[in-house]
Amino acid sequence: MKVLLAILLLASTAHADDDRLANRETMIAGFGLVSMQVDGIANSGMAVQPTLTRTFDRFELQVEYLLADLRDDSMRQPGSILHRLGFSGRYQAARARVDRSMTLDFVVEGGVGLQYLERDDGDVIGRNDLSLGFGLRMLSDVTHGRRAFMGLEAMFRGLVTPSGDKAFVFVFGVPFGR
Amino acid sequence: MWLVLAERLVVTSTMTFSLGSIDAGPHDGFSPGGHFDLGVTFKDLRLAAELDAGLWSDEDAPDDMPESGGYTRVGGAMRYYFTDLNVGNERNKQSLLRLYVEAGIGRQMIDTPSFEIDRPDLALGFGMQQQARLGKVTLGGQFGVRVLVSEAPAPSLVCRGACEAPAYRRHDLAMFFTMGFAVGR
Repeated sequence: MKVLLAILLLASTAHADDDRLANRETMIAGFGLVSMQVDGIANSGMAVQPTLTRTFDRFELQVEYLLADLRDDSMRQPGSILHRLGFSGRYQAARARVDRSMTLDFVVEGGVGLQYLERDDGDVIGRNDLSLGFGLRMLSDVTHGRRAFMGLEAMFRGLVTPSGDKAFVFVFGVPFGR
Repeated sequence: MWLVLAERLVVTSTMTFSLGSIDAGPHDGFSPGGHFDLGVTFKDLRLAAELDAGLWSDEDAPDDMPESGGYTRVGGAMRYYFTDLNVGNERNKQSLLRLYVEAGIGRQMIDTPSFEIDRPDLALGFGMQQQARLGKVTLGGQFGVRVLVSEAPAPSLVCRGACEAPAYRRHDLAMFFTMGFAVGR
């Protein structure tokens, strides 16, 4: 943990002076699709995902809340509402800066999550998961004075639970922050 | 004092496209539609009256018996702009990106050939509204996500003699992504 903090602090100060895009705090109003196995049966549905991200140069810490409305196309099991609280460590594996005011980032991430499924029949399921994902982000500093960012982000994430159920999440959103 | 207060009030109207899903008990509905509101902003607070209208199609309906209907909602919401990002001139705040959270109440109606639902709901949302001032007029894009929580209808059951009511989730959820623009003065 101490090593991680030291890396983050070093990374956060490395380019802060000459980089208007360094060390951002952003929020994303995300919307997307989820396909998730529940007891081995595939469910799918729409999702919204508020997300908070803090970057330390190339490193990022993120917390996200995924809310999805799931249903089983085959009608073998009842639908459910998914609540997932996730924590991710992310790294900007590749990035390009345009005129020092716009960045294009390719981000990879790994994390953990807590899932809570409320099924239509009144049953509930609680479980945890591991996540791996990648995404693309475009972010611009839209001000001339104090920093303010706005852009687009698309994120693809795979989840796996201890029982072996898998899930895939695609979220598209508009990050903004400073 | 009232004159000063009136000068600080900004009346805005928002028109957005909305895309989302609405639960109706065991039925999962897909709902593209529109959102319209008329509100008054004072500093960081906005109070608005809202109207939503859209389609509602049952995703669980069999392919040979598709079921589709309409969705309407009227309500009111209070919005709080918790951060303003100044994207214009640093001295005068003529162009802002305003980040908000909001909460409201409303009444939603789902009307399909096989059932009708009329129920109250609670709305929660967050997003961003751009506010560019052009003379006395404000103009800007708006987008956000919104979640509606409402009571789920009890499953229909025909009992001949004594039987237990089946368990079911007591609340339904609807979620929308909204994108459009806001105008006002």
